[in-house]
Amino acid sequence: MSRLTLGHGSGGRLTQQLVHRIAECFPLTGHDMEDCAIAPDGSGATMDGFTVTPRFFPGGNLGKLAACGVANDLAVRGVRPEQLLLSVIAEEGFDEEELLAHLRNAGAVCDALAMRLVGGDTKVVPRGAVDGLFLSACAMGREIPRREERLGAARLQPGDTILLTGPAGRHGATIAAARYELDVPGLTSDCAALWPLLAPLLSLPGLRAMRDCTRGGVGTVLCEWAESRHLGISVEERAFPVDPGVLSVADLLGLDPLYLACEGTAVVAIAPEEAVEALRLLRSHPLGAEAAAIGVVTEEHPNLVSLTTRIGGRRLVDMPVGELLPRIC
Amino acid sequence: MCLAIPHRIVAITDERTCRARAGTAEVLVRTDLLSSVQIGDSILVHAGFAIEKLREEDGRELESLWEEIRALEATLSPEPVSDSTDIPPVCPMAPSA
Amino acid sequence: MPERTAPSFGEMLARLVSRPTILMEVCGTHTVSIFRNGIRSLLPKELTLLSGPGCPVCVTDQSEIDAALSLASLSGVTVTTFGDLLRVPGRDGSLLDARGRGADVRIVTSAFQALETALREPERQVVFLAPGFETTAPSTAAVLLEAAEKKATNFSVLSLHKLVPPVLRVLAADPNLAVDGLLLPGHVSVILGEAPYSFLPEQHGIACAIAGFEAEEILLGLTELLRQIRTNRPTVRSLYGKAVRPEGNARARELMERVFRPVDAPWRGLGVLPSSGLALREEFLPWDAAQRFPLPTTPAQVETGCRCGDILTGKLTPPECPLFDNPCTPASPVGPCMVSSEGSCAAHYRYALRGTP
Repeated sequence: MSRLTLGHGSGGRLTQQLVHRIAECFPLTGHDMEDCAIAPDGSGATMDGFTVTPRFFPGGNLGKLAACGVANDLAVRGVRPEQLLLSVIAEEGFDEEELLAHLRNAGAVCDALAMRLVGGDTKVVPRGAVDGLFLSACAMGREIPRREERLGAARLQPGDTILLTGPAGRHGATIAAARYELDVPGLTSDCAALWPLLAPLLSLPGLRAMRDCTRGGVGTVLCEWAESRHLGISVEERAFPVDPGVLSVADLLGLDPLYLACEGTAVVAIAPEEAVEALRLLRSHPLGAEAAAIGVVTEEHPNLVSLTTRIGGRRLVDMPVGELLPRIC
Repeated sequence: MCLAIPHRIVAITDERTCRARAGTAEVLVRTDLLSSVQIGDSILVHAGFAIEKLREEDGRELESLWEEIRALEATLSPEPVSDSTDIPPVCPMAPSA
Repeated sequence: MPERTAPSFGEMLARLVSRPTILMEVCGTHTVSIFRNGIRSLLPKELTLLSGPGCPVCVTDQSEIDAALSLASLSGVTVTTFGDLLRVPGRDGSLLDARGRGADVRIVTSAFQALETALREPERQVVFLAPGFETTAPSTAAVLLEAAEKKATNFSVLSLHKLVPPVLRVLAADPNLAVDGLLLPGHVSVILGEAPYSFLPEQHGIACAIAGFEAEEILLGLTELLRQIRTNRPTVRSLYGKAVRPEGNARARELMERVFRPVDAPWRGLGVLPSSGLALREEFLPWDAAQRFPLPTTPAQVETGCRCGDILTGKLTPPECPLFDNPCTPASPVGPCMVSSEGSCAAHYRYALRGTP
């Protein structure tokens, strides 16, 4: 009998394998492994569960995370977030004021996006059945019509430029700092709703695909893209925007920023001739101030992500396996 | 085997503890393994313990190493040797692989 | 340091190497840095760089993990450990698996956090698993001294510490291993200084360089090794002067020697090496987990076909192991070289472009 481990939920290789096994349970599947599902009529839907601890962290809390998370899954496929359903599962004894604080944060995110709460469910379960509070969110909306084919990994082509909207790993580093008692002034989660940042890119016909980097970080998204299209992706270490707080946490705990979770950072694949314009649009928004081109899609080394290091060497970027654990060696 | 990174001491808390900064992070570090520390010291920290005080990079040591390498390079043929296979071994130290 | 770009290091190495040369690095942190910086892609083909037994997690014997697992299964016991050990397989799974079954296994990033846990939770028996070489052992020693001072009777340590010079003696004396030069561990050397390595050039003609962990420092170390080999003057040279004193850190060694004594110890894949591990001295036995708790006698090792021993001694490179990538992968590791982030198999799998050395 095999048991699930926290690694199966960490967003890397083990999660990928588990998700495949789950999908196989459903004979009829319309799942294309993208962040949200889009029906033929252009209506989009996505859902996600949120269980982070600590529930309050610099830059956000569980409620804000839940609303942003699902809104972002729609946004990266060009679907305007319009409606939200929320499931609340609270542990017996949970502080009602804290619950409302989370939900007010979620409400504020919705307000800014003009996203309407249209339904939900609330459960209180016996002490110990959940760790405090779990939120599940479902977001729905409508695809912004474009002449081009639907955004998604299927549209990636050799030569496409890969952009990163901001420094990688800020959310994961913030959570790790809290968990391992590191005081990192200035480090906050990047938790944010990406629709206002990404929507202007929809006007570019050369926009191919976007992905919200969450668990497993930027590295996991790049690997998933490379493997789904059997193409290579080459990135340059020097091109990545960096956050000094993330680097400090990564150095202290022996973690790799490429795999630390994000909650408000996206990768964008775009036709090379429109990369400059895409960067201009991203950088004109506060969330994209540090956006940069980090690499290209290539025919070389299919299925693999190759990184050119700071000193000019080359190495592979693979998906992380299981939880990211701090190391002393 | 040993992740250890430089920190700078910002406060001495007691006879075996200090607070030190690595990048933008500030952490508690144990100083049991060093005989004396003061604020401003640059220390190498492994698993929460300072294992040494870091000294300023001694440029002279490295510069003399580069000079030796340059001197050696000057005695070598101008072409990179590695592409040819018929140069006899210069160094008989180890048995041939 | 004079400005050197990586391609110029690569050219320099190509010019200095005069014949097929085998170098070995013996520090897992060097292994990771070499791979993460893509240094292997810059080396001339005549230069073979092996990864040696420098990853303390990789050399943690299965019996030692089994001891840790048996402690974790005891009721009332909290096992505190560095993250590094969590996924190493014992006979029946890892500490991570044990945690999934309800064992109280907690990650710490320093030994003092383990003692703090014990002081904070006097009703728990808190065991600290202590892996690592001479870089780490002095810290464990300091915490044991503090535990004795504070009479923390619910705290104990399972020492898994091992020593580097003994395993280097074994490597140097191995007739099947022909190593021209060793890249020596920078941080172990911070504690030990340069003297313990002198037998390598003096008795075995092996070039030695102590290097730091940045890409340029490693390249400089490799360059120095080739220089020694080319001029036929093997010695021990430190290129990490900002951290390594020739005499090392005497105070750290004193603490280590006060608390620990050398014992024969099992190294995974290498067998028992004489005087290569550390056990608690008599005065500190009250804090020795091996004394406080009943530990299993080691059953016969399960035969898995794992070749970590040959990997650790440089006789096989990871792609040459018959289990590499199938079935042994980071997601389903057979041996510790694939588990540890510093293990050469894991590093190779994660970082080396498949099909390249």
